[in-house]
Amino acid sequence: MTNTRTTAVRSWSRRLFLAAAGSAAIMSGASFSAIAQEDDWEKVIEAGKKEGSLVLYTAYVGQPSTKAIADAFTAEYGISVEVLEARASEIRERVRVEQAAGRYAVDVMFTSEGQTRLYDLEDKSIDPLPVTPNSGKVRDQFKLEVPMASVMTIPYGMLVNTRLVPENEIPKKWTDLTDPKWKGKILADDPRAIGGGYSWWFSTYDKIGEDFHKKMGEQQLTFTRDQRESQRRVARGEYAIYIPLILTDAPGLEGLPVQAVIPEEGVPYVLYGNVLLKNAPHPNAAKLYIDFLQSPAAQKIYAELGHGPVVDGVTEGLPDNIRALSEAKLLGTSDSRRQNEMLEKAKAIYK
Amino acid sequence: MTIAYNRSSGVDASTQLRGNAFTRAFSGGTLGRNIGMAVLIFILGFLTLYPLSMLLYGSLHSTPPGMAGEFNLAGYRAILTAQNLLVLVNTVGISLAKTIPSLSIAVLLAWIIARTDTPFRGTLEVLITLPFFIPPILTAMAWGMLGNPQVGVINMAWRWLTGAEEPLVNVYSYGGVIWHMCQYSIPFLFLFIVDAFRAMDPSLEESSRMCGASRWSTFRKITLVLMLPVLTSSFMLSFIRGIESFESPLFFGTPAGITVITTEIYESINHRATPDYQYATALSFAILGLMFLLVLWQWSLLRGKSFQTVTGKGFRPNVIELGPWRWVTFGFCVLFFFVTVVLPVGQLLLGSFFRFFGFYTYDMLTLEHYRAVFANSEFWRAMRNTMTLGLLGATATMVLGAIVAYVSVRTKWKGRRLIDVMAWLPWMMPGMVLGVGFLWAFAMLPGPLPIYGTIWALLLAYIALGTPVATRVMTGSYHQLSYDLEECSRVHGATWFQTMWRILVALAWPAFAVGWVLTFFGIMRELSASILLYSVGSEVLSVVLLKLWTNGNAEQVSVIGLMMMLLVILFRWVQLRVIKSRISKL
Amino acid sequence: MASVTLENVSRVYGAVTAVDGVDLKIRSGEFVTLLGPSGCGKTTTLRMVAGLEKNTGGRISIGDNVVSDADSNYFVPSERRRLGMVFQSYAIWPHMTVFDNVAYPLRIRRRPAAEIRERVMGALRLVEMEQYAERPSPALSGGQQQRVAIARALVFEPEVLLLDEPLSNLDARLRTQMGDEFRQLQQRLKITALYVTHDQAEAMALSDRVVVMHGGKILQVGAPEEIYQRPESRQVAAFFGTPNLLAAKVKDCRPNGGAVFKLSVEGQGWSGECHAATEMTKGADVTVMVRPENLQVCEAAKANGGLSWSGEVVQAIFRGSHRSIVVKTPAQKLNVEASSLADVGVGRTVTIAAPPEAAWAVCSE
Repeated sequence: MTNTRTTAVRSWSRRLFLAAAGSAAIMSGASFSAIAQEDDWEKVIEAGKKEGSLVLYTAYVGQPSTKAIADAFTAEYGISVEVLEARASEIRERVRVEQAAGRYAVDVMFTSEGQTRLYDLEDKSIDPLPVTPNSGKVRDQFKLEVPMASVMTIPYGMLVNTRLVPENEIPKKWTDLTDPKWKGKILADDPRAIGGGYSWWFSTYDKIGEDFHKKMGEQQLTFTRDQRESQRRVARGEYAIYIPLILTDAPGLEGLPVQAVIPEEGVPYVLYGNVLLKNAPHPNAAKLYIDFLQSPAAQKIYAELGHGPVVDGVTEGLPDNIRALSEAKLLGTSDSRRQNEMLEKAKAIYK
Repeated sequence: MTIAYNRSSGVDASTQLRGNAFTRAFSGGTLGRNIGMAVLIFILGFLTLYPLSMLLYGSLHSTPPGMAGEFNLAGYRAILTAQNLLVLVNTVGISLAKTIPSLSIAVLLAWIIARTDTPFRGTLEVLITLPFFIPPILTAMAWGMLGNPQVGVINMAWRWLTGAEEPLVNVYSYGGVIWHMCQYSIPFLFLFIVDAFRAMDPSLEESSRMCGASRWSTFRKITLVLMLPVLTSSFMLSFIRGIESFESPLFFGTPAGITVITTEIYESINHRATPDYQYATALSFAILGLMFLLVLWQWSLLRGKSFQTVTGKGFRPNVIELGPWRWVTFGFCVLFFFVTVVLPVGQLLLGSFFRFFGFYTYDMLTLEHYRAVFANSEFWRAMRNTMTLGLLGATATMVLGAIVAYVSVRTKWKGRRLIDVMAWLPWMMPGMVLGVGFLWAFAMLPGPLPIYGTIWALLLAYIALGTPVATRVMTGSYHQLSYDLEECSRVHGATWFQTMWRILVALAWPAFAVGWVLTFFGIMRELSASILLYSVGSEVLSVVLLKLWTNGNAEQVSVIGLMMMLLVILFRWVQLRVIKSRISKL
Repeated sequence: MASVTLENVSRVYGAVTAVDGVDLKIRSGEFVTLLGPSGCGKTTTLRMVAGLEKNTGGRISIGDNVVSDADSNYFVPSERRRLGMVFQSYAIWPHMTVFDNVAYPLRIRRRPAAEIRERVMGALRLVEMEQYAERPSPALSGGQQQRVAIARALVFEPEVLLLDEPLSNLDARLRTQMGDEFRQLQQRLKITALYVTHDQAEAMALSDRVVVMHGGKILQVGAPEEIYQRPESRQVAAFFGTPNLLAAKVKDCRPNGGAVFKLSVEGQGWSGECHAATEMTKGADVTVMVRPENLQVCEAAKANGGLSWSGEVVQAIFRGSHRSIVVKTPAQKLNVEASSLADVGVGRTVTIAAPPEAAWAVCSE
């Protein structure tokens, strides 16, 4: 395993120059020159293995993918991964306090783009991203200003109860939901609080327009704050439609009288990725992990779960239903800089 | 007002002054006592005042601890809005609306179980407390399935029976929020007061009936008044908990547009662009201030009265013979059991054998959820951690609670009021805010104190969180014991510690055991602080449950919930059996 | 068994003095009763001996050992004083069986199990409760609980046995019976006992000596007869029963052998002879005590040497063993316990008389 990997490293090492040079415009010059040497990555691997372990905090709670990828990483490098899971605000406060108290426990954090901005600007708890062999392969769209190494997207669609909604009436577009026949029949994650509902609101507001939401405001949406339970409520027939459905949950709902819909306009999404913590106790292992998650192997694991990958060419050969999810057209995502403004707007429209 | 049998009434005027003369004997102030008190204050201070002071800092500082900022009152100014006043009225209203009926039903149930000859009351005693031990999210889900207006089982049955169009119940409403809270309050209050009923000398009631009072007015004027310490304590615990209840309003209230203080706090931390800790902590302190008034009210209510119902004069075990009425009380208990346990737990049990909750067809039948749970190594590791923490934590908490209660109820030591208040504090802070307080407190400790990031952080937080209940349970129990029992032991050669253990703990054992079970399952359920304090490798059950739930594995969560319930039955059974064999009083 | 010595013992609560300079020595094997009305300080005194309260002044010793000395702030806690105590409420621990209750003082002292068994059963035999050993203690009657409490207090052979109104929760018949039994036991085992009660009959029947207390002070210490017949003060006199207390002036005083003086006194419309403990000056105001049971209804002429009064019967109550009558004399109303056979109806004029030895004079305060 290690042997094949080593040759693999060699083979792309040559390409590293190109990749790194291509992304140099957005990467910091210092890290570029530090790693640009042919043998430097080998040294990182060496040092990372010596560190032997790695602590990962993740805000993406309860996902089996976390363990699957950690196991793959351990198999690759022999570096064990210790994972601590908690919700975004909890993770952030833990990291902030740990850093303030000088207890540097964590190396890498798996979190969203919006949270990264807070870590970077307010808490100043994260380091600039290293340029790594795989970082260059990331699609331009997912190369960010903030120091987060993009990993995958969580796409949002609709969930429709097939017992209540005949085949031909299943909405195909977000705008279909404004049809008066859905009045009082839609269950929705609350757009007035940060979460899935808010992401849906933000991107559809931006891409489809305020009019759409004004009409949605007439539809007497019922708001909840528990996404998984809401899916079940629609399945049991309390409501005909649930928005926005975390599309990667769809495979788990097989067997229930529901159908996941990928709207034609595209799917709102949340972008997740890794950040490197300041004073990380295992900095080299951390770099290896950040790199590994952008590798085809890890990207494929996410694509197989229906997440949108951030590199090309990993969706081939997937079952059709999964491929549809991971290749779903992306509509847009939220921008944490406009959060307060958009929350206010949501409260004005959805009273 | 006839308060209680008082050993010394009218015999010796100096007893009016004596209070607890047993400890007055030491009023000269011995070194040991002062050191003991100082240690107690230090422990409680570390567990309660220290995290709270971090939170107080947070409420007065523009940024949380560890960040540059300035002191200001912006947090407190921000909470003074008309909307928050409405939220407050809403919260208090909901809490009162659930506490009063809960307490009434709990008193009735406790009386039935402890003082009447209702058949099968031993079994019923264990069964009717079960709902308390199920994770709230599970019963919320179960009630959502039973009582949603569209396809809820209850409403479907109602429509089928009556042909009506309109649903009978809608759990997504004020009623639903209150109902769901009641399911937790009633068993909690019941556990809290049933032993107080049991420990009462029936002659106190009999003498009232001899004086011509009817059964009902005896119940009202003697039984309830004698229960005053327990009833007021449990009322306060329940009322405050109602104000801090989070799951019920989130689950059933949010869809109906009902906002309470906890959902407001939750939103300010989790659903704003940046978590507004200053606002959240300021709001919590405002609540704490209001709650503190309740404590003062209880003090004034109990001042100068004696509630000693367990006297050195033994009493015969005596239950009221209800005749044919006992089947009515039996029916009431069974109805309660059916509505609060069978309906929701039945759903969970049934659902755990099918692929999905609510889809009970033959082809969906499966044991995969059980297999998944049993094969989940993370679950077993968390279970081990939680059991260790639970056993250690519950025991430590109860010992601390017993000592605090002893000092505050049965001595006249200086500072006893202080520790009584300190033991109340963690209860008055909403859990999710207090969790942050523990995080700040433990992480900001000076370097050489390795608490943060270890299992000790969890243990200390659990002890702090459990202390209010532990102290209240023991306080109620101690109020009932007459001083003779204690003094007699001292005179016959037992030291203070021997007396504490062999007489007071032994006599208060039923309360101790109930408190232990409450604390143990409090620890099992605790999430707010756990998720902020657990470290890699020290996962606890609640975190695993959150992960499973977040991943949409509600059925696996129920499997674990049902296992927890089995554990409760086991604990309670052992406890009641031990009591039966050890404590000949009952 | 040890003696108990109280030297100038006081207990002050804030501004209130509950016990004020009590001096008392209880000899080994003696049964001493503290008697007095509510609030007289008797229970506080007992509790100070028990170590349940700390004396604010004076010194308490048990045997040769000082157990509490307020001046040097020396205090031996209860559990190290080797006492046995019976509480008013019995303080039977409801969570233990009879056996466990009695075994407690021995178990605390870590005696071997065989010895515990033997001594507990011995103690229970003493109070005739052996057959109840395994009973849950709350299921006992009051009298049985009392016996258990006594057995528990005796089981480890304490230096001193303290009893705080142990009989007050029993009914009248049982009280007498238990009292007699306890007195027998005490005499047989030669236990030093300090007993607190407000019941004078109980005090007299049980004690070797009675200590009458009032307002935190000792009024008189003496054998029951002495206290009853020859009180030192009007207060002590008034404490027992309903004695007739008559104001009088001393006409003459002379020694009558021993420590007793013979007085001639004159009251309002009566005169005669009586006894007193101290020498009185002529013309001094005294109170003459005559107990109702010592007054006899008789013919006027027969009142020679003693005291006599005449008056109208204003109240007569038949009590079975005797007849309580009230005679209105020029001096005051007098209570008389006449024979139940005497024919004295309301409205009759009678003469009542008492022999000199039945009249006892004390100084008027």
